[in-house]
Amino acid sequence: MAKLRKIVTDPLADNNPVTWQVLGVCSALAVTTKVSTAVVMSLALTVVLCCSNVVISLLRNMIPNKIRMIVELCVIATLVILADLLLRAFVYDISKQLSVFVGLIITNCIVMGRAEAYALQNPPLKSLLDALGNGFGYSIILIAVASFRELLGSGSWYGMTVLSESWYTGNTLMLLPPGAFVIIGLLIWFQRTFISKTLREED
Amino acid sequence: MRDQAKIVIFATVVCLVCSILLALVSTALAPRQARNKANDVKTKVLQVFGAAVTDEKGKLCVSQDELDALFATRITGIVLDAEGQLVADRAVETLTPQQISDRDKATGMKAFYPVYVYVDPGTSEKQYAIHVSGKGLWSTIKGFMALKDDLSTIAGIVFYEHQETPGLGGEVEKPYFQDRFKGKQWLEDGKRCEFQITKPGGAPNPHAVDGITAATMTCLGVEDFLNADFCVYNRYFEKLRMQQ
Repeated sequence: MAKLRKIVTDPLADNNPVTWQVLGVCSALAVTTKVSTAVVMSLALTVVLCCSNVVISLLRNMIPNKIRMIVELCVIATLVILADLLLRAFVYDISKQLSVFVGLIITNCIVMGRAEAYALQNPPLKSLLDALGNGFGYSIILIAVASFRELLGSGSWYGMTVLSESWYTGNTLMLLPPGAFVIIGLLIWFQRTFISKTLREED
Repeated sequence: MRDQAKIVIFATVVCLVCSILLALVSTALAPRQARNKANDVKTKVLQVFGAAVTDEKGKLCVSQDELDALFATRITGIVLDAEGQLVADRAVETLTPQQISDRDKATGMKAFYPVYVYVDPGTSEKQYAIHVSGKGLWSTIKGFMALKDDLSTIAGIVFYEHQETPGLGGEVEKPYFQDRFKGKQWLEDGKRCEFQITKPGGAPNPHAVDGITAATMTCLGVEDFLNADFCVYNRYFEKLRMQQ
């Protein structure tokens, strides 16, 4: 049980896909100007990641080794197109904001990485937990970055005005991609210096 | 040999399952997506006329029925052909997105040019919205431009579809850029002027707006298609101005 829990909690901080493995940074820069888009992107990625990990894990003994990557890609691509179709049908406004980034989930290294590194060797339940852990790990960072950027850039959080426009001037840098670079950099520094146990043990 | 056969069979099955699944879902959701798109166009047309259908964050604040009713009561559509002549037997609702956006390879003209006429409920002043679209840097940008009663002053512009780079060319969808068009003129002394999107910080000019930094190609594209499209509409507008 403890072992299973570790599969979920490990990627939240110590082995975080964004700040530790530095994967999925492209989308972390792109969709984090507002918390609402970050939340939807996180959900979409987590769902796609869970499905792909489970499917790959179920097929793991059947997939011929020579074409395993193509099969992984095929499964992931199908799931992403499904997610895109669903978003466009049910949350049209948000799908417009995410535009190209939903398609980019296909190339998000986290999905392919977990399929290749974990789901191919492990049973479905463990793979699902691994996917949840990594999805949440990605979500935490995405939402943290988006919170900073929306708060400092537009003075609001999740669309609610926090810093009134009468005395707060939005910092435009935070709304541009370089702003995300700065914040992700700071988060990586913060995590590696203060939170991550692995690094301290190495010291 | 047996291994290879297994690979081929496995690959075929995976492809079949994936494609059938996608085909089913896409067919099932198509009507919903089409309705979303149609609603979006309606909203954008009302928006460009300044009707209060969205809150300050751009979210729709009227119900589906109210939207349909507003559209039906306040707006009438007319259809022009590539010569700027009125096509009496076509309704704007019957035009497909291809017919109003795809340009003929040889002539560079579109098949039909829709105009939406809006009557302000308070002042009963008329406004006209024209459909403008064309190539940006990566994609076709589509939008509406509203003109005041004089058929020269720009009342507003919105872009409702594009695939430009978010943060660069994608900024054309932002209000700060679209607001720059308000009050600009197409005509000078009754003659049509080339509209320009200039380098940011250019001299103030009634026929030009500041472009977007780092999106020069997108802006050049927008400039080109605005001029090309207005040229066609203007032939019809000239007749309207004569009548006024």
